[in-house]
Parts: sequence; C-alpha cells; structure tokens
Amino acid sequence: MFSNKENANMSKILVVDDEQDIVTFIGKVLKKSGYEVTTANDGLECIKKVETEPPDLILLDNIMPNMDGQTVLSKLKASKKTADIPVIMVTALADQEHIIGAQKGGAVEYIVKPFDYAVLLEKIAQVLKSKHK
Amino acid sequence: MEIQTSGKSQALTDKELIKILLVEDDAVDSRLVKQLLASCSQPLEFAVESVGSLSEAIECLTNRKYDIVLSDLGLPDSSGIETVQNLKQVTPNTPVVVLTGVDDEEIGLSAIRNGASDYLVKDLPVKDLPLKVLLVRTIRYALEHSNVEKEVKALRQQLEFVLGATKTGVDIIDSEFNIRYINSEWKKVYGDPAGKKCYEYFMDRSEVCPGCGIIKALKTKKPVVTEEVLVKEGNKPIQVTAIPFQNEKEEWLVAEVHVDITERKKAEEVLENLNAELSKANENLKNTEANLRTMINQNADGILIIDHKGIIRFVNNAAELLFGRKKEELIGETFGFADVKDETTEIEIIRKKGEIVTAEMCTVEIEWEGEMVYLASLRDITKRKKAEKKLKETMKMKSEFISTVSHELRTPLTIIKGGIAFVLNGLAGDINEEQKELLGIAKKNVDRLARLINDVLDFQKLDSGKMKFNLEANDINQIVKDVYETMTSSAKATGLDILLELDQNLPKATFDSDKITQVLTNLVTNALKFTEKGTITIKTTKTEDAVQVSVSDTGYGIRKEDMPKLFSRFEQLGHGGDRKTGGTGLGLAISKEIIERHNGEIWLESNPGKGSKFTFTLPIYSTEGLLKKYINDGIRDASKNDTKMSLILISIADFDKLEQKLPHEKINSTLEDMEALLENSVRHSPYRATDAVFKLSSDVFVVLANCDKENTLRVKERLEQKLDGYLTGQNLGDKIKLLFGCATYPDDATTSEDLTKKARELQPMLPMSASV
Repeated sequence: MFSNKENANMSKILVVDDEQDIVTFIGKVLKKSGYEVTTANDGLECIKKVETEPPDLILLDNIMPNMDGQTVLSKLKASKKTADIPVIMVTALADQEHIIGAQKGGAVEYIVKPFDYAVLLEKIAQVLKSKHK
Repeated sequence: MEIQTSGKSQALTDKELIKILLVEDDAVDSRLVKQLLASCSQPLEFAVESVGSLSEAIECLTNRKYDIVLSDLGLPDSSGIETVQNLKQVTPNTPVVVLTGVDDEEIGLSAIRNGASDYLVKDLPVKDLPLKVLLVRTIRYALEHSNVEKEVKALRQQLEFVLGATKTGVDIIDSEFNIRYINSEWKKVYGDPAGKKCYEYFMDRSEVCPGCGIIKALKTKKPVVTEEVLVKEGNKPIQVTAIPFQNEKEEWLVAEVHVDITERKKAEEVLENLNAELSKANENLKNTEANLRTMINQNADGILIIDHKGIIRFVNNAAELLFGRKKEELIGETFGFADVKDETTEIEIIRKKGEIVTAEMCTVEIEWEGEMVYLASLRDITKRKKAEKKLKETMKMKSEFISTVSHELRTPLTIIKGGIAFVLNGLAGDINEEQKELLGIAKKNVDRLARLINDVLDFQKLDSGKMKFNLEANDINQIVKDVYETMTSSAKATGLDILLELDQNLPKATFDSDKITQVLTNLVTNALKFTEKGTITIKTTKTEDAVQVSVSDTGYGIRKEDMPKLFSRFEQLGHGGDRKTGGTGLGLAISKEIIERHNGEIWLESNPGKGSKFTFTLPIYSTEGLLKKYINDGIRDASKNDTKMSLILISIADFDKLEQKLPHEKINSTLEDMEALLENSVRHSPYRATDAVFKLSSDVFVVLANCDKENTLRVKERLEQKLDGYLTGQNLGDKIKLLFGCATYPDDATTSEDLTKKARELQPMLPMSASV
C-alpha cells in the first residue's frame, strides 16, 4: 500500500480532528505514504488553513467542539474557493442521519471509526485519482 | 148448559169479556143474576154459563177456564162450606164468590175463610144498593183480588227463580232472631226452619253469632255487610248484607241477602299472591336497579352519555371527578370533544385550575330511552402518559448515551488499533518475536473491544429501530459457503470439522446478505466455542415458503432450564466458553432480532451431552411482496424517525407493443441491463446503503429510504439521464420510450398502496438539456 508513493505525487492532505492523538497517528500514516500533511484541531482553524494553504483533500472529523464537521463542510462548500476540494468525513457514528448529512453536505466519501488505516489510504487514493481524471 | 152473552160481539179489543160460571140450582135466582149481568152498561161483557149442581160445575171447571165462579152454597149435591172447598179444590186459581141468603153473613165470612174471595147476599132490600151494582162490584173486586194474587205469586216465583239462579239465599229475621222468611235456596240445603232461631238454623249455634250483622243493622237502621263462613257447607265463604226495614206492622225486621263469595275469595287469594309476587319482583327490581346504579356511579371509570347533538345526558361520579365539575353543571352542556364516534381515542381535559388531565375514551353507540346515543367510558391515563413520556425520554437518553459513549470509545480505539498495526507491520522499525507476540495479543484484544462496541451499538440500533436492512433475493448457499471459507481455518485450529449439507435446488430467499452472514457467523462461532470435539454441520433445506438453515454441533448441549435465557440479551451460560473466546452475550439476541426483522424464525433443539442444533428460516417473497414489505418498512422507519422516503417508478411505455418491435430476448436483456444500471446508480453511493431496486415485469421500482421530494427529483433526473444514455448507446432510443413517476412519504401518500398509485402517475422523460 505504501507503494502508491508515485501516485501520491506530493498531494497535500488536511487532517481535521479535535483529538490530537488521531491527528498525530493519521499524520504519521499519511506521511509514510508520501503525502504532505497539514493539521487543524477545530473548525475555525480548518477554514483558515484551507484558505491560506488549500489542500488537495480534507479529512474531516464529524464531532468537534465549537463547530462540528457538518457546519465546516457546509461552509467549505459555500465558498467558491473551497467548494471543489474533496472532503472525506471521518465519523464514529455510522447511522443514517450522519451519513445522509455528510452526503447532503457534499462530502465525497466517509469512513467509520475505528478503521483500518489501509482502508483509509485506499479511499484517499481513489478520491484523488478521480479528482485528477 | 146455556151460554148467554149480553148480545154484543165477543172479545172486542176495547172490551173485557169475563167468563162467569154460575152455580145456582134455583132457577129464579139464576135467571135474575143473568139478567142483571146482561144489562150491564159498563165496558164489561159477561159470558155467563150456568149449572145447577156441584158435579156439573166441577165438570165445567175441569174442561174450561173461567174468570170467576159465582156459587150458591146450597146445592143439591153439596152444601155450605163444602161447596166452596170443593170448588176451590178443583180450581184453586179462579176466584169464587159465594151467594148467600139474608141472615147468612156468618156463612159468608166462613166461606171467605175457606177460600172464597167474597160473598153476596142475594135478597137485599132494593133501597140499600141495587143488587146489580153490588154484583158487578163484587165480581170486579174478586177478579182484581185474584189478579193481584196471581201477580204476587208470579213475582214471588220470579224472585225465587232469580234467587235460585244466582244462588242467593234470602231470609228475613226479626229482632228475636226468629226466621220470618226463608227462600227455597236455603230450604234445599238446610231444610225446614221449623221455628229455629237463625243462629241455630244457619250456623248450628246455641247463641247469637259473634259479630252478628243483624244486631248492628237493627241498631244503626242501616245496611250492614259482613263476611261469614257457612259451617254447615264446608266453610263456604259468603257475604251477608243485612238490610233493616219495617213491615206493615211497623215491626223492625232484617232482610239478609247471602252471596256465595267462594269464587271471589279465590280470586282475592290469587290477587294477593300476585301482589306478593309483584312486591317481590319490585323489590328485586329495586335491588337490581340499586346495584346497577351503584355499578355505574361508583365505577372507577367515568361514564357519560352523549346524544347525537353532542349534549351530555348522563354523568357518573368518576366522570364528575375527571372533569372537576358537578354533574348538574355537565348535564345539558355540549360535550367539548367533537367527533364522538364508535371508537377509542385519547382526549385532554382542561380542569378549572388549568390542570390538564389525559383520558382514554372508548365510545360505543347504544339505544337509550328510545334514541341512539353514545356511551362513553373515560379512563384517566394521565399517570400512564407521564410514565410513557418519561420512558420515551429515558429511552432517548439511553440512546444518546450509548451513541455518545460508543463514539467516545471509538476514537481511542482507532488510535490504539492503528498504532499497534503500524508497529506490527514494521513501519516503525523491525520488531523481535517477543514484541510481535505481545503486539499480536494486544491487536486481538483491541479487535475484541471493537466488536464489543459494535455489538452494543448494533443492539441499540435494533432496539430503537434504527437498523437498516437491505433486503434482496440472495442465494443462501452462497452465504453458507462464504462463512465456511472464513471459519474453516479457525475450526481446524481447534480440531473441529465443518461439514456442509446444501440443498442444491434452493430458490432465492429475501434477506440482507451482510446481516445474515453476521447471524450465521454468530451461530457457527458459538458452535465452535461450545464443542470440544466432533463436527459442526451446516445444512440448508427448503420448506413451503421459506429456506431453512441449521447449524448443528456435537458439543455440550444446553439444558432445558437454560433455553429461555439463551436468546435474551447479555445472558451467558457459564460454561466458560464465552469467557475463553471473548463473547459479549449479545450475539444470539442480535441474531434473533435480525431474523425476526426478516419475518423469519430462529429456534434451538438440544440434547445435553449430545449437542445442539440452531435453526433459522428466511421467507421467500415474491418480488411484489418484497417490494411491498420494503415500502412498508420504509414508511415505518420514516414515521418513527420523522424522516421521508420515496418511490421512483420507471416504466416502459406500451410494453405490450414492444413485443412486435423487438425480439423477446432483446427485451429481457434490455430490462436486466436497465435494472443493473439502476442498481449501480442507486446502490453504490455510499450514502444510499438501504435503497433498493425491484423489477416487476415491465416496471422497475426504486425505493429510496430517507429521501425527501427535492432529492428524489434530483435522483430521478440522474436516473433519467443514465437510462437515456444507455438506450441511445444501444440504438434503442426511438424504440423504447420510458415513463417516470415518483411519490414521497408522507407528502404524497401515507400507505404503500397510495404511494405506488401516485408513482404510477407516469410522465415521459423530460427533454434533456444540451449540457449534460
């Protein structure tokens, strides 16, 4: 799985989660796969980072304090600058509400915790592939 | 014998003809009398027949009727009083007037005493009174007297007859209790009174009867009515009316009228009995009424009667309390809840102080006092409602709690799992055997923890109805094979074999393949856990309307006492199996729930020491049945979670005519392609895990769970585009025309029939815009 380094092509991924450990862990995994990683711990930081250094993909946690994932998503999609950046929702809640919400909001994929990081990498690769098509 | 008439015509209507028999042996006297009678100028005509001896007279009297007999006492064959007596003997009812000579007054009187009506002195001095007049007068008086006597006799007979006919006894008693008169009725039974006192004669008493009506009547000079009992006639009951009166001598007498009142008495007794029964019945009725009244008034439920105009007609005690208003206030008022019908509803009553009470109202139509009204019974369910509300809140809290907790648990789990996997995969550098072993154990346990959380969450989802099922026609044998592949290595590792006995002719059943895989895995895992050695057999068979899967093992078996607990949550049978391999105790409960949601059944047969066999069935639906079930499930979930669901129908226009344009196989393959296309478009969006596509002859239904009207239209457009693209690509664009329809619950309809109907309002595809 880590042989996708070529395809990774230095794509920049923004990891958004209020849990620092997750951010650290996912960041490690992504870096090992050859991606460039930026992080944010809450919604506001996420939006700021997206505007200053737009990533190729955003990994967005659903449940966060201050501003939850849904809100961030809608804000991103509302702005022309950020609307086209694919977002993968990372959620611990696999119920219809949140999945529908994610789709409605415009997220292109979702992944449920606890996940296999291999699966995560797979999804990221797919999304980036279709983006570059 | 000569018959002489006065010369005038006989028996004229305004003249009386009196027939006289003259018995006179002296010819001169005889002639004289005749002459005198003949010259009578009054409107009386005398027909006189004269004879000269008694024997002749008797002969005449025997053969003919005379009104009167004038007779000389001195006859050749009879003289004196004898004559009278004889004559009277022969004709007791004809008056006899005796003719005497002067100085024979004594004889005349004696004659009267012996039955003669009167006497006449023959040779009266002319100057006193003309003999003629005297004669006529005497005759007339005698006749009158005789007539009167006859009348009296007749009356008496009539009286006796009437008294006899009515069985009435009449008697006359004087103040000394002597019997002055008694009618024949009495005599018949009691015989001749013969000088007995009345109490002796009637009652066999030696002294005056107690309560004697005669004494009272004589005292009060007014009629007295008493009731007596005739001892001499078997105590026959009689009513006696004692009527006091004065006779011609001004003596006070009492006339008694006795009436047999046996019948009356009987009737009275019957009446009394009836009265007694009526009284009793009345009592019973009153009691019953009192009981019913109590039952209604003291009933714990409120009872009301409301007429068709909505007016309250009756209120019981409990209703009074419920409404917090007096009966008098409520009766006559309009019942505040409209639409009182033959059914059960819940109503909210606002009491005077603003307090709200919820009541369950059951209404039924009844007939009451001749009209049709509603009988409503109200039960206070305020407490129950509160409890229900509380329960709902608790459930919601629990649900939210579990969601939150599981979410909270998942994040650290992700990190732990990820971290261990990272190191185990050598990504953080090489690791030695010991590290590998320890990390391996850690990974296994993290996985176990993850399963535990999933189980709990699964169960919660099932419980709260939030779990979705993706029902479609699947091959159960394939599922069995898949599970076998997964589990066979771990089975071998514990020295057990898994055998498969699959019916090769199974039809496809309708089920969610992931969920059923979960169930089968659960059953096989359990079997492996609880079997020391031997084999696990998975068998598939078919029943009339379902497919059946059984998992048998040769393990410990399960005791009968433990069986009920088996499928319930969190219970584990302590054989240690679960502890060893780490179960949650939820597996069977979840499996049961899943199977039951499939409308299947799951059960267990077991022989302790020999083994157990778990069996579950899955129904085989027709596609239509499945579609209906899907729609109904969708409606149920949508209403439960307050979301929407939609139906899209894609139909081929003029399907029957299609057969003429294209070969059969082409049509079928096109339809299948379309179905596949739709399935791909619909299913593979990650967000639409529970949508489904159903093909029914020339129609394809797409069921969209949790999709409102707006989104449905979007999806419909997308599908239209895809299909249009496909048909164009196949060069069928002109041959096959598609029609689309859609319906959303609850906006367009609330039942599966109505939704389907609305979806069938088909329209052709909208023209595609150039930029697709």
